[in-house]
Amino acid sequence: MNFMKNKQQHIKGMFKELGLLSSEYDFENIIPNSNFRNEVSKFNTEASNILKFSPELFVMPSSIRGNEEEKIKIVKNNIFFVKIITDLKFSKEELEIYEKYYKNTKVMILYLDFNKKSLFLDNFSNLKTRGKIKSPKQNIIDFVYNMNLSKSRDEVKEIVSKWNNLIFK
Amino acid sequence: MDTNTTNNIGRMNLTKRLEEVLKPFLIKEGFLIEDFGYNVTLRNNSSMRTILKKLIIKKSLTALMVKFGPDFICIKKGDKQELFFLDIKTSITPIFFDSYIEKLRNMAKLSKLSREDIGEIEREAWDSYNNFYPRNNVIIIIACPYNPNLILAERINNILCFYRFEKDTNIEAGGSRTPHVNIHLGKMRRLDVFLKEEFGVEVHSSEFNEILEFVKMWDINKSMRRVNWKQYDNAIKKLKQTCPWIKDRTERKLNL
Repeated sequence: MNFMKNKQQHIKGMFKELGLLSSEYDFENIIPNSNFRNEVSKFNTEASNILKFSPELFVMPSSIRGNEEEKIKIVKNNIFFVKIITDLKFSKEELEIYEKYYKNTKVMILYLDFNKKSLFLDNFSNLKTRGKIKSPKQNIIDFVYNMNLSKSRDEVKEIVSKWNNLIFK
Repeated sequence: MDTNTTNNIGRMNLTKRLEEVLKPFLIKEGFLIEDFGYNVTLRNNSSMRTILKKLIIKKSLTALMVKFGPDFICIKKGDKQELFFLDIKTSITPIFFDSYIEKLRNMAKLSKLSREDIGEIEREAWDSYNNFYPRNNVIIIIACPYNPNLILAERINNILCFYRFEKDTNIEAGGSRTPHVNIHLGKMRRLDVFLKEEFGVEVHSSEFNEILEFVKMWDINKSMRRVNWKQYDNAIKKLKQTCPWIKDRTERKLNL
């Protein structure tokens, strides 16, 4: 398993333990046929780049409960894509795809900061600036805790900390 | 052919049958086709697929992007090389009431709009193709037995959408009560013309004609509850003037 796949699996495991469903959504997973994927790779158009730069994970809560207003809040806030990055370099093409086609969706940029051995994340729309991406600052514990997943802050902290160790091992 | 389309499952099956005919046809004409859509992208996650079926999901554009992805990715190699997204659809329920067609004509300022011109697409699917994909690279093929051209195709940036149902459930519609948009079928090209003009593909006419004959066999769906048999008969009688293959109730009973 390559480096990013390994990290993707760990993050998926962390979300699962936090009570979220997640599905791999990257290029290899949305086009399982490797021959066809190779054909797609030969193109450099917006249509092909949407596929190539697909985010690593699609995440949602395992249940949607509450009154109508609460349910709306849950689906608007707690369904999102996760783009996993280990540095802040986005190609021009990739940035264009996210700015143009994901602008009405929720894309969380999850930054694996190997210097600080910590996970940071933020909404893509908060991070883009003049063709670049700023470093996400929000700690994942705060983000997950604010999702109201019926877990105390300490429980969230414990789960994140366990997976954090595996991710940065 | 009884289309068995009084319910949502029946309608989906009809589209599946059409896909099974069109896919090999397009492959033979030189296209590479790969399944896409959420049954592929979420194939390992039945829990997510179940949640995505809930009505409340419509409030999340992120979820809609996943749920309403186009059904296929296609590649045309050669001179007019292109990667595009494809969705194959069927429209078998015309608008039965003349007064409603008149209303649409006035609202859309399309004085010549006819019953044959009016196609229906699920609203969320339409929005998804328009917002989350390059509009010039999303192609819709729609088969419609009440349109004289039977199988139409167009890039979505060339499709005229002239009506949009705004509420989240359409209590006036039968079956799934899904909100819809109406598109102008009369401004779309027949599939063979479209393939020739867009990709330089000269289709095998005998095989294309077989597909046209397949669509001609489909029965016109009667909207549940809202349309009585007299209203149905009147609309069929009018449609038969431009689409003589459409069977009225007597012909259907005799299986002609």
